[in-house]
Amino acid sequence: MIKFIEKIKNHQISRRSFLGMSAGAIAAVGLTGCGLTKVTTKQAEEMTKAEGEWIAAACWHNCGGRCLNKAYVVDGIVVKQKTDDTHLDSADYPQQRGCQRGRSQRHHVFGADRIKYPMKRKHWEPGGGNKELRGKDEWVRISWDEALDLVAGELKRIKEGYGNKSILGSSRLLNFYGGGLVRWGSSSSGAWGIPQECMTGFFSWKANDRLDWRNAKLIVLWGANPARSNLGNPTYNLMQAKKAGTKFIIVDPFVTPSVKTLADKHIPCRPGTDTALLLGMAYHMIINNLQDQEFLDRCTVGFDKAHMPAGADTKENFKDYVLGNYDGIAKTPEWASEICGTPPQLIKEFAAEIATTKPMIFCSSFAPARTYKGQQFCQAFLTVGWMTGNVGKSGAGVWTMNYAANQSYGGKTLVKGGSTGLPTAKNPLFPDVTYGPYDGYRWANPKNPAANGMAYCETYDAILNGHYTGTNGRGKVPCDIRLIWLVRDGYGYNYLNQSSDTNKGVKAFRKVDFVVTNDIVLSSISKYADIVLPATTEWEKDGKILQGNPEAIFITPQVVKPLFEAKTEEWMDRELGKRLGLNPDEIYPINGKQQFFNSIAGAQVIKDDGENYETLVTITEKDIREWGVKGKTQNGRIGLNELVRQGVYQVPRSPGDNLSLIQGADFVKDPAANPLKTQSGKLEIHCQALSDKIAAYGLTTIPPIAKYEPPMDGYEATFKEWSSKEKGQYPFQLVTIHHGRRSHSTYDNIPQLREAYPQDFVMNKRDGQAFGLKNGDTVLIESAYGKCVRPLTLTEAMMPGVVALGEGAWVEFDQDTGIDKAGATNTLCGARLSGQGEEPWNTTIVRVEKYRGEPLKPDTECRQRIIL
Amino acid sequence: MVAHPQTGAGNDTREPVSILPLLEARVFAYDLLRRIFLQEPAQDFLVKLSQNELVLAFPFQEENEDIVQGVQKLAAYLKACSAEGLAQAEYEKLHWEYTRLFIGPHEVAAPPWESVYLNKDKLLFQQETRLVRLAYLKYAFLPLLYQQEADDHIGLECDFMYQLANLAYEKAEANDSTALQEVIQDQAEFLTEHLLLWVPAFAEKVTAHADTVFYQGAVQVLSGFLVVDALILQELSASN
Amino acid sequence: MGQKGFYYDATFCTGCKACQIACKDKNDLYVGELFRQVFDFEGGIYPDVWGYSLSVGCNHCDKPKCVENCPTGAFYKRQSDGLVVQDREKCIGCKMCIWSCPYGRPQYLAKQGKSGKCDGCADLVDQGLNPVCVDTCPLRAIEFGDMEELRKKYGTNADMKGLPTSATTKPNMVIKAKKL
Repeated sequence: MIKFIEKIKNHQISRRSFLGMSAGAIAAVGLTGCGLTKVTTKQAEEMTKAEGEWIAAACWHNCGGRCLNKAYVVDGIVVKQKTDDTHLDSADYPQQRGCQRGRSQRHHVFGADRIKYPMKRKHWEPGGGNKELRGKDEWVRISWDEALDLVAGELKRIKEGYGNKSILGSSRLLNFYGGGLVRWGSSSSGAWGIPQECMTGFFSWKANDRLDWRNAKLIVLWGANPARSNLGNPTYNLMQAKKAGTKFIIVDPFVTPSVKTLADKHIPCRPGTDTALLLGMAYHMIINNLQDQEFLDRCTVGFDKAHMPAGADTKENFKDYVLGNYDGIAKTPEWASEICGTPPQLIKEFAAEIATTKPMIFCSSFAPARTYKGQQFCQAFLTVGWMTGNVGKSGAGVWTMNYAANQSYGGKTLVKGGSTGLPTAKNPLFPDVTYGPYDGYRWANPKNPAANGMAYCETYDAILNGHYTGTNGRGKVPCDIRLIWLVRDGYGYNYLNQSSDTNKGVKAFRKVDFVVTNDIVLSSISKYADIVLPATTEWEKDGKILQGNPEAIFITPQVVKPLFEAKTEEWMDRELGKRLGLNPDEIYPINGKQQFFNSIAGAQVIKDDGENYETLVTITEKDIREWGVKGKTQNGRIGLNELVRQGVYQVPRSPGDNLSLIQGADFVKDPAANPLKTQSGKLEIHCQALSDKIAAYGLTTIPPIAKYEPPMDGYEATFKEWSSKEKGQYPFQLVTIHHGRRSHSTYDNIPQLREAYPQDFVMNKRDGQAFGLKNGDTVLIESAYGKCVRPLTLTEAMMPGVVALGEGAWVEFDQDTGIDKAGATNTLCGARLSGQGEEPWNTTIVRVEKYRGEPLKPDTECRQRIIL
Repeated sequence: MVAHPQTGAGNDTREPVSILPLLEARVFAYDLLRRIFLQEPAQDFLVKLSQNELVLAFPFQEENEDIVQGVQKLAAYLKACSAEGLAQAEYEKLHWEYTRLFIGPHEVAAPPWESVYLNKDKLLFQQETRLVRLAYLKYAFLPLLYQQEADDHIGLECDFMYQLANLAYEKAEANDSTALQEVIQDQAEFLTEHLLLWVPAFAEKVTAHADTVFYQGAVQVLSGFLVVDALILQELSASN
Repeated sequence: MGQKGFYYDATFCTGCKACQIACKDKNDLYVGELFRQVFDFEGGIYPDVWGYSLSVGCNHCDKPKCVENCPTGAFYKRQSDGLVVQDREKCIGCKMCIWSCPYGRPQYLAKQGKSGKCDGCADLVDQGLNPVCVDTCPLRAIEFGDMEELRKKYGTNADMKGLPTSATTKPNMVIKAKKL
């Protein structure tokens, strides 16, 4: 037994130096602002005994989902999670169950990699400092005061020296300070926005009610993979149709999990060639007279020369184009097959089937429109759909699938949250928008001369070259961008990772004077910033109402207090505002708690008559007092606190209830009495308005009817020579799919998700073998815009000539080689300008070879794939 | 004075051996350790450390290789520290080291929180954190930045041991052997149920990722001292 | 009370792995430890490719090899409902169960030096609740309950291409297999 007590007697520690340390010198050095502190015995007892409670926890991601997650919180610590168990589950009234990502929510909030304090890049100083070090610099923790002073200082300096047009970004604060340039365009929905607006008056943007889909005899899902891209209930809802006898046909280059579970028939089609396939189908329908001529004559314009809209050139009718009566090219199934890869016989069968099966739902995802000049696909899709006459009837419809959780839903909004009460704040430099992660998204007013900003894909060129394409014939608009501002409300808006051409993006980021972001972890865009401010997650804010599908709302209060020094955007805006000489109360006249209260108080639910709405929530004087807000008492269906505890309000459904809806029934019955909001009042197969509006963006042009124009970086571009089919430099077409591990770029670093979903590069087995590649090899994938490395998965489920990589991985450039090690698809996709500013990700071409460098460390174990 | 049974003090003519110096040495050790890990390195702290051979006065070096090696590393590093402090470039290097190892903004190289090592998902503010908090609450302690800073930060856990070491000294001085025994027990438990479970893995990460010998040395001293302290506490608890 | 077990609809499972993850959460499992695991099977030549997924936990067999071969009796079959559960204290980490199970369901838990496997969430079942995988599945492709009732409803098939034959251990599960 070591005699410590004895031994210490002889120890050289002098009492003097010890005393000096604890009493004098070190006490002066002081442990300010950290360490432990004493509390009263009573406080300690209370906290020890603290009971837990279930709190609805926001699942806030841009998966379109929004499902119910609940966290069991004990004294600010989340001990466990669960999903919806607020009512019995049934096909008619399904629980809003969280997916594999939602179950991993707490990783976001409590990850060790949270940005905890304001951080400043070491070699930055006002003006930029050493800009080349952005992305690879050291960092220093700074105080909030210092951070706010620096940020406000730079913002002021740049505004006063160069004007607001030198600021790229918008936020509520910025909008009170003169505004900034806005990035506009389309990401998720590709080219769908303007065709929907002009050709249908947004009529085909909506679907029939969920319960009505079961009445379809046939459902065509074009390019949709709900089993991976639309988690939550959509696939389950579609299965109810399958159980009721609906046949499913899915068009996709990939034999996806959706194909495997839902499809009775799979139609292969190369990326970016869907237009050709649709034209081939139209040809077959026309020469066999299978189209619903009566519907076309009555409800559409532009199908044939006898039904053209006023003022249109009669030669520009769809039928004559398909038959090749003017350009000499008959768009036969054989013609189409050479382009799209679908066998001609299958094209004919498919065409006949959609033409003769009634009722049919013909629905497209956004993916085929995320292509160069994607409008052509939208035009062709709607036209061919309308040719079948499946519009405005039960079990029928032609529409594009709405965002994620809304897929398989449609019809009326059964319950909705109220407004927060915060007054709008327009961006003075771009008055069509306010602020937020979607401020320029699907901007549809290119004729507005007061719009200052550029297409998503022109952002980096604008920074590097000092000009961008102005819409409405304004030509080159000069700009001198000095500040990239990303202190904003929203879910990260990680565009350096999520927008095309990350390599160019990094160059652009290294040019400006100042880059400032707020973030919860160091995402790609924050990595290249000068100052990063610690942001709160939705669990740490006052609360809000979220909505995914039209039948339920989620009421998610604060789950835990802000961690470390994280603050809300509102707090940051207020503090910055003070330093800029603005009045914070003008920017935020009401606080977060009040906003949450207002949105609950204003929530409306549909009445049994299926037409009118009524107040959802009962609010008492006691509630108002307890919440410490301003408000009025009101009567509704459920008490305020009960609703917050429940976390969700979902309207029960049953077949035959009053809540169903058939889109366009009135229009189809009597188009004259119920005109659509299109120029002709009808569905426009020939749409001059579409042509004109796209031209106004100044990027590309599109004819008024659907025509196939080989897209940049499409199938044709994989060849050196088309007639001999000799492959060129980039022989493969890349599809950037939604990846099960993530919601876009969120969740990339969660171990159990990485285990379930490796970020593998997927290629057809025979294609891989022809290049001498084996399953599991590390491969180098290269495009004209960049390179990345990934482990390879070979499968017969992928169409030969096509490859896939999940979008959203966080870019990780190797310092020496410049190769991205993570498989970030935007290092491969070029920033090309198209249509309404859609990012043409699915028209990208690459080459693949075995990687000769150091093999990659595996993300995780390889996917369990058993080939039989 | 509390007698020690092994020395037979109180039973024979030898002078009873006080345990106070031992308790005092523990206070000093934990005080030094908590200060190193709780805050970013500050010039005045480094100056104090380098003066008065404070680091070299760290107790129990002869008991444990890690302590003596760690102390030597620290002392060697601090040689570059004058009465004014480290040269600016060196100081910035040390400061970045602390930031990179323990704060961020990149993936934290050596996460200084217990839950990251014991929780299967490596998260903060988990059940493991609450258990640490309950240990603090027994003595009515709470992090000053409660709910903002995670309770199980290495600096806070060392601070807790420091506070209890102080309390032990006070109780011993006041001859309150029951209270002393309890606080000895609780410190022993805190070591076996918390610190000793994760500090080895933490120390490994620091050693693997640190560029300066300062933090390598500090974590070595920490690792070694915790092992020794577990034995000390055993001895102290047997002595009652 | 009769034997309990699982029903899997392999025609509707999309392989999303929500069940796999929910199970890991409940059982505090690390990467590599999968009490419930989703397997993807596929074959054919493009475009005639078929595929399906199957979520596999423990089958709570009539003749559980893990129980037969466990030297300490840590694994045992419950009288009340035939669930094969474990007294983890008794486990010595010999891995016999891992080698014995034709379905590969027991997992080695390295940090504990013991094995473990799906126990049908016996603690929840005793409270009248479902195993977590059942309540998690977004396709509602997993059911759990009395085997007699499940077999009456869904048939008795417990075989599928890619799985070992059910004749060996007589698993208490019913699979709706994909017609290929």
